[in-house]
Amino acid sequence: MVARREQTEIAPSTIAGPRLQSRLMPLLFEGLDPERSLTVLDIGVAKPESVRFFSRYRCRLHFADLFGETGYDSDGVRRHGALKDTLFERIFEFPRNTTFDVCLFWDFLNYLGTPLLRDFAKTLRRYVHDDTRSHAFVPFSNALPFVGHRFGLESVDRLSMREDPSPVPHPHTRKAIAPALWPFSVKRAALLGENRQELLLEIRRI
Amino acid sequence: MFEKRKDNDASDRHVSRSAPAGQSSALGAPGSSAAAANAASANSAKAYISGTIAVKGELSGNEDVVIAGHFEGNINLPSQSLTITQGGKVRADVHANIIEIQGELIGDVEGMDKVLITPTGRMQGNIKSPRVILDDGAQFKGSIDMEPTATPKPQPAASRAAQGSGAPAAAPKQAGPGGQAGQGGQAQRQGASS
Repeated sequence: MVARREQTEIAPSTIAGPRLQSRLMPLLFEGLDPERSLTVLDIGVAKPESVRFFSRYRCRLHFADLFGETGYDSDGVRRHGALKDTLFERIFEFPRNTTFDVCLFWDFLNYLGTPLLRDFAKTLRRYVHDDTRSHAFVPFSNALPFVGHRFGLESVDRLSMREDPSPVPHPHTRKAIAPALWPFSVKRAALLGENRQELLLEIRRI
Repeated sequence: MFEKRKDNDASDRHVSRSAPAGQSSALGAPGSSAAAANAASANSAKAYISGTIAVKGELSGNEDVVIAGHFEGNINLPSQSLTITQGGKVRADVHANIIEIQGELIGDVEGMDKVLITPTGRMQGNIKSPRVILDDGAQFKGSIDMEPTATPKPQPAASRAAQGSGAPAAAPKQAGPGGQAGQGGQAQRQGASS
């Protein structure tokens, strides 16, 4: 009745499409205590490859499909009107005492205008600690097209990609996004192809 | 209420048809005097809630359970499997050995062995299990608490050539002298900021 799929969770991914080699993603996991359970926030719908990746570790994964909450469905299509600047105050419902060790924002920050971006970072502040590490993508230049994607984590430095057919509504360059992200601060940045830049974020309370 | 699945093997037994909705319904041989024999065969027995049936209440027992209909309440099958087939809808907290979701489930689940959500599966809630498998196309919203038996140290994909999926990785472009990002194909930046 229930098919036995032993080891399926660590089998090679069968997801079609391109892959992205990340330079900064390994830093998210560097130095983490392997004996300690990780708490991870993944913005977006749960991807099989991400679950497969994290299934090898002691961890608690929180998938938050905020694309839907902000009025964009999983294809990035706008579904309803203007958003209030306190959206995340209302929709974050993580269990009490949840603090994330790793936050995976992917392209999500580029789906928020600056007021909502501030609200997002400010609200998430309650759920991070001083050593929380985060990762995000932004365009390098707004003069060039930036194609949104949904990502999955196949290995510590290899991501699966699914293209978002709709335009990214609020592409933020690194320079533009930094002031709105407090307490998240850009620690390192690496340029990838196709106008994509990855950011490693750390917490700076001051 | 409960039907015997037609394709079951000889170890299947008729399940209780008298348990009223809203009450505990231990799925097992009615009036069985051969408890030991039942226990021995329980691993291969299945109870089936068909697609036209809706049940509210508590479900527990020593047989695997297949739900093709609707169920609302609590399910406790700590040594058995629960399968929600495509079209089946469950709104319940579930505790079972193996949980396979081909249909829809809203609630928190604890899988002693594993939880599997198939491509047609939809789940909203929290999962606790040492092994959680999402097939491509599965939809899940919530959190997953995993406790594997071993904790390997993360290694870069480049060091595990044998695990390559065949899809070429898009390597970051190399830094060009004063190169503009994303243009020219050889631009890369990396550095500390703020």
